[in-house]
Amino acid sequence: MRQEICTYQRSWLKFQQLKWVGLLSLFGLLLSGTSLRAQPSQPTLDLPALLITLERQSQAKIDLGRMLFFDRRLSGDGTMSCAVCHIPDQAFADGGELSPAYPTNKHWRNTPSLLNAAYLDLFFWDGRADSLSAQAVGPLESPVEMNSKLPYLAAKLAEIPEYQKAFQRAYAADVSPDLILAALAAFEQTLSVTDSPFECFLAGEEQALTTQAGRGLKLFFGPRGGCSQCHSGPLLTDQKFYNLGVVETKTLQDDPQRRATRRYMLERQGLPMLQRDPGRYLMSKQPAEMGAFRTPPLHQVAQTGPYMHNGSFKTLAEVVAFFSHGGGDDAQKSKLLKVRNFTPEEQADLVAFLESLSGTVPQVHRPHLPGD
Amino acid sequence: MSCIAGCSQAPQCKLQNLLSGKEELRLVKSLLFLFMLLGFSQPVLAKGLVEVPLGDAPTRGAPDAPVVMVEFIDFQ
Amino acid sequence: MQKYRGKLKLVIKHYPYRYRDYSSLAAQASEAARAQGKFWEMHDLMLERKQLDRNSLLDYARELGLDLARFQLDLDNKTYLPRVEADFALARKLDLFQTPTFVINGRLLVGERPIEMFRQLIDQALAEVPK
Repeated sequence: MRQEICTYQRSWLKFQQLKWVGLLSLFGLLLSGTSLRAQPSQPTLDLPALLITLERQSQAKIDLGRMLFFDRRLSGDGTMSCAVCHIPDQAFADGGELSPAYPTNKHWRNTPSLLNAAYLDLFFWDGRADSLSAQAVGPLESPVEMNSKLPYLAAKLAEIPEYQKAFQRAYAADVSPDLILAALAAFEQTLSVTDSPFECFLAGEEQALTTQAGRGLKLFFGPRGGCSQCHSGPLLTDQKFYNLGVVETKTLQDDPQRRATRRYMLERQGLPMLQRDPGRYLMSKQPAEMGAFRTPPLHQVAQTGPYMHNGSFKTLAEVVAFFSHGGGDDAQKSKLLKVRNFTPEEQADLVAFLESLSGTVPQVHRPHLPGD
Repeated sequence: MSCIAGCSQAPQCKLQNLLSGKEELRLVKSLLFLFMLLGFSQPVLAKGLVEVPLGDAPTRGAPDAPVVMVEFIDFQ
Repeated sequence: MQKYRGKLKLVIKHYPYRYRDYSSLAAQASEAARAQGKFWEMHDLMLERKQLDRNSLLDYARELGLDLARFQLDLDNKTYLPRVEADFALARKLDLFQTPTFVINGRLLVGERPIEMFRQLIDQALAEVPK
């Protein structure tokens, strides 16, 4: 099914690419086939490897994880499910600058997409979790997200016969905090996108990228753009932490509820209140990592705006312009950022390349939940 | 993996794999592509808008307003 | 939302949460009030006061000057349950999983979101309206 979608989608992209030049050009282009890799005059680009196929866990585990993902009973007052911030129709992000929050509270950061998250080694903007399971504890127990407690949640689900059966079916075991997290991870592992034009290009389909996206690719992976200094590897992230000089937004600085969230997160790590988001410093307590955030993976990035840890850029064009200027103004800004003064054409090419990272998002629907 | 590299192992993708890189089959590929163009239309790919039948639901605001905001509400 | 006067219409559909004690009852109460011409008044009171147990709903009905006997009978007979359930079924059919969920000229806004996100979708919808 996905293969059929991929074939159709690629054909459609080709149509979008070529309709402007007419049918004859279409034939010409398809027959001649230009290659960014094959042309001897082109400098060799250090392109990433393809994303590997992740092994799917049993359907029973995936189904259970999907039930938990959509079940609002996982939150303290039954308001929030995972899907509220990771909305299936919005590339498993939420479209907002800052994440939605538990009622009466406010969040302090932008929601990362779950797409291809299963490939990551570090989670959250500050890398404070090292597995999908460990990540899931964060929102479930955070007072500004789902505000529950795993042991209580396990007890709650254990009193629901359909969940009892589902856990037995999936794990041949009773409901437990660890298995709740494991099932959520099993479901999230299915949320991968590996058929973007860029991935198809990497797989050898030379026509998968538009001409403009192809130029963007060269910029992105070449010294002129410098993007792949950090956005490298199959996920287009080195999973390291950089201070880009992204400006603190007024709402994060002034809103007492958002400040309270920051204060709480800092206090949990034994740190005093700060007038800025500490980024990786929160975990490492290394002054050099103050305001440094994990390089985000870029697959499906065109659908996951607004961008940056505080959602301060609405569009990819704004992000590219920011990097063109060498990032923001911060004493600890990464030395990798340099003023590049991209031309408007180069900026548009980079945006086109970033848009070529979008593939077929898995269609996920709310399943039947116990008690429905 | 859903593009060429991934589906090369799947028997049902033999045709797709065959058509993917062989220079001599580019014409066949083009014809297949054109066939697909005829077979599908843009709305199939367009991001679906949700259509809500309004029925006689309670409304507030201008009856003939150009923008309709439906709220699915839980009072509790 | 004053700036959208004449351009925006709000439509209410019920999507009571199954696991809450008073969600369905409150939805039925709003319809019972509507039958007496006071839907929006009841809607506003329920959201403002937040107490939604049966006695509170009866108090609101009294406060709004509704025919209390009729209102009470409608609740007891579950007169408007089928209407509420029809909305619920529609929400499920549309694959909605959260309240509130807003559909603004076909575009979804899930959950309680900042006013700017509403403005953005409404402005986008207005821009798409044929002149």
